[in-house]
Amino acid sequence: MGLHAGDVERRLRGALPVVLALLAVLVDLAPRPAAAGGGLAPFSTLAVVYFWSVYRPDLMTSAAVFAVGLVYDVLSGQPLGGTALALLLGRGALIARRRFFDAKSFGVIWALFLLWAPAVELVRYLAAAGLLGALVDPRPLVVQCALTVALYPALSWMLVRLHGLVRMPGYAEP
Amino acid sequence: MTRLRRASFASIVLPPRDWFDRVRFGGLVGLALILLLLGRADVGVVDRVTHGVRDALTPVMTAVAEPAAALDHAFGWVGRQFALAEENARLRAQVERLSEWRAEATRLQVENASLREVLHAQRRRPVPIARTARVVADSRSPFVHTRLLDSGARAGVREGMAVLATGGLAGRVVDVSPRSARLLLLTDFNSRLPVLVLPSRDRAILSGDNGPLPRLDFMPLTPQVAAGDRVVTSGAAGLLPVGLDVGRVVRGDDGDLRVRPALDWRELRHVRLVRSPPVPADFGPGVAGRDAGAPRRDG
Repeated sequence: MGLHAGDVERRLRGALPVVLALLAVLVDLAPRPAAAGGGLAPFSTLAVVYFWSVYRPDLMTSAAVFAVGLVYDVLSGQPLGGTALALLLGRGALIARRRFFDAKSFGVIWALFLLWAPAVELVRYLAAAGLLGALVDPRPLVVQCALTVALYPALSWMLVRLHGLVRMPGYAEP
Repeated sequence: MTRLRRASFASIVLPPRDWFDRVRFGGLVGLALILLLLGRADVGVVDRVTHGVRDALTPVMTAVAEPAAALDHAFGWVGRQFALAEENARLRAQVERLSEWRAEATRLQVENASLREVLHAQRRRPVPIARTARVVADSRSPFVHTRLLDSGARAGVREGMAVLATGGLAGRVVDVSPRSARLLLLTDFNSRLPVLVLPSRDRAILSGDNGPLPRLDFMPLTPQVAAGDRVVTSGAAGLLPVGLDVGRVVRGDDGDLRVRPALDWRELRHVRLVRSPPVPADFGPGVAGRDAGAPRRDG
């Protein structure tokens, strides 16, 4: 028994959030030769995972978040499991409060991202520091975090347009 | 009616799903923690899986890197148009200065050759370039300063190879899989490179600390080093070839002696990988793992 065309389409649409998160990983890690060794840029993967964890947690599952984090760790050469752990815990915290997001304005969601992003980055920092056995300079992380929060409105605007493809009744609307 | 249906659907379906989600969540958190711990222990199977995933994704990264580089180049081109006159003047001055240096280099080359002949010294071979590679991913991280290269063991890349970029040394290869390799930049927290400061010939270890200026450690008790001195690889322990340009000494804000890398970060797209050759016997005393002042062995 083959799959119906409708099923295939539904699955493709359902995979969209994960595909977009993986795309964000590639964009985040694409070489953009900058000033010094660790040229800083926003961590857009974080924003994409947040967006879908808030609006479609059924499509951005914990397994998907884990996989995205792991791919990020493998490609970036960071401690394996650090980003995966941070994103998983971040998603867990959002899921535990998912009723909160119903009918909230963009401003509230963005304000929450302002709190959520540093918390997730802190977990990554602690994982990396634990593995390196030293507290590396946290300032670049603060800058990266600020850039990510600043990028969120633009990214969210784009993702809201794509959200139409996976809209479903009964979930919070952006 | 709709309200009733949704409530009953939620009460039947959500709790078991929630429960399953929680178990899965806990399992994945545990797995992430295990991976973090195994990362410290260097477990072969984790490495193999990591390498497999990385090799599979390297072509994808290459495809992404290409348009990103083109975009970067386009922006750079627009920017350069505004600075053409200034750059022209700078380049003219540089050509003039370099012509003088070239004449001096030719003179020294001739003199060097004749002196070597007198001493029956071994001829120094040019740095053997193993191959070139493209940078396809940037760690873009406050924790690690690495780059992913699109060539691996199948292309002859080996762990420990020195990596040269435009301007000077970029770092060395630390992790090789069949189709990709990781370059540890000299600014990375884990980077330690044996270097030589010229002209004093003081030896030191260049230690990265994730900042833009790596530190000079393990200097002699009374170093004869001044800001602006040239820093090259010493080749100690045969880790890297001798004499690769690393950068210039600067005094850091914290008062430490640091090095401003010579490499041009903006051009870190293609790199050259250098085989680590057997330590040449003619680089003079005090380097290449021999004791300072040891008698030279010629011929």
